[in-house]
Amino acid sequence: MIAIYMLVGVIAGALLALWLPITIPATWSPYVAIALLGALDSTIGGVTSHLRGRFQLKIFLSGFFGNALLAGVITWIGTRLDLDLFLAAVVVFGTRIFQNFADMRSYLLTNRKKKCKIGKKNV
Amino acid sequence: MRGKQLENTKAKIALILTCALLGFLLMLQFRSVRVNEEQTAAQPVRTEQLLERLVEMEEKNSQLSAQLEQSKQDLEDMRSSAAESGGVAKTLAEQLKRAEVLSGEAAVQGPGITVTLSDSQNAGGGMISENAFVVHDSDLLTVINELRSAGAEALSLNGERILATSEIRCAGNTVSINNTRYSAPFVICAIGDPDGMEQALMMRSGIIDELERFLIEITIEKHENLVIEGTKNKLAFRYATVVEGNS
Repeated sequence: MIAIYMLVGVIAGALLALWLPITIPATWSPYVAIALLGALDSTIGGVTSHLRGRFQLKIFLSGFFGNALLAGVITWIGTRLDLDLFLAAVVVFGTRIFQNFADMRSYLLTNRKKKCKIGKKNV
Repeated sequence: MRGKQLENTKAKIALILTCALLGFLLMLQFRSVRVNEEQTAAQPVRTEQLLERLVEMEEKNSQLSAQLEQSKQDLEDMRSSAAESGGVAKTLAEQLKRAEVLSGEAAVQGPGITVTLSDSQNAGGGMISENAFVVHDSDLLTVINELRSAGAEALSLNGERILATSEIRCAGNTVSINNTRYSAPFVICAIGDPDGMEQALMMRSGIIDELERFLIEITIEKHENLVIEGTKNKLAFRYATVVEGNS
C-alpha cells in the first residue's frame, strides 16, 4: 500500500518537473546529483523499515533531508580540497541501497512463503 | 487508536510529499543534465565547422593568389609591348607606372630602414597585466605615423604594403593588415631618408622610448637598397567616383 503512495508521489513530482520550465545550472549539477542519491537511499530505507513495521516518520524525514544535505556538503568540501570526496557518498549510499533492497526482498519472499503455508493449512 | 490513525495519516502525507520532492528533483536533474550536455556538445561542432571553412578559404585564397600572379605577368607583357610601340602609348605607360607607384600596386626600391617589433620576454606578472608587454595595433600605427611624418615614401608591414586604404587593427591576439592577419614579430619596411626616419623614431620620449618602458624589443636597421613589394589587393572604388571638372 505504502509503495503505491510513494510511486504516486514520485510520478507527481516528475510530472511537475517536466511541466515547469526550470533547469539546474551546470555548476550545481554534481551537488544535486549526490543529494539525490542520498534522498533515494533514505526513501528505499524508509520502505524497508515500513515493511518491518519499524517505520518512524521523524527518523525518515531527518534521514531524507539530512543525508541529502550532508552529501551535498561533502561534495562541496571535496571540490574545495581537490579530493573526490563525493565518492564516499556514492559508495555508502550505493551499498545501502542494495542492502536495503536485499532486506526488502528477503522479508517479502519469506513472508509470502509463510502466508502460503498458512493458506494451505486452512484448506 | 485514533492517535495512531492520525499518526498514520500524517506519515502517509509526509511520505507522499517527500517522494514527490524526490521525483521532482530527479526529473529536474535528468532534464538539466540533458540540456547541459546539448549545450556543451553544440560548441565543438561549431568550432570544427569553422575550422573546416577556414581551411577551405585559405585554399581558395592561395589559388586566387596564383591566378593573380599569372594575370600580373600577362599585364606586364602587354605593357612592355605597348611601350615598345612608342608615341602616345609610351607616355600612357609612364603615367600608369607613376599611378601604380602612388597607389602601391608597383614594387618599389630605394634606401630605407626596417623596424622590427617583438613582444616583450617579460610576461608581466604581479600588478601589471601581461597585456602591457605585447605589441598592439596602436603601437604599430604610431610607428608608421612617425615614419610617414619623417618622409617615408613607401611602407610595408610584414610584407603587406600599406596603402591609402590599409587598416591596422587589433584582431584577437593578431593584428589585421589589408584584411590579412599577422602576429608578432612585426617588421615594418620604409623607403625614405634612413637617417631622418631613424631619428624620428629615436626622438626623446618618442615612440621607442615609450615602447621600451614595456621592454618591447625594437631593432632598427638601415638599408642601402630596400625592396618593397606591391600590394596583391587591387584598389577598387565601389562608392567614390571622380567629381567632374574639378581638376
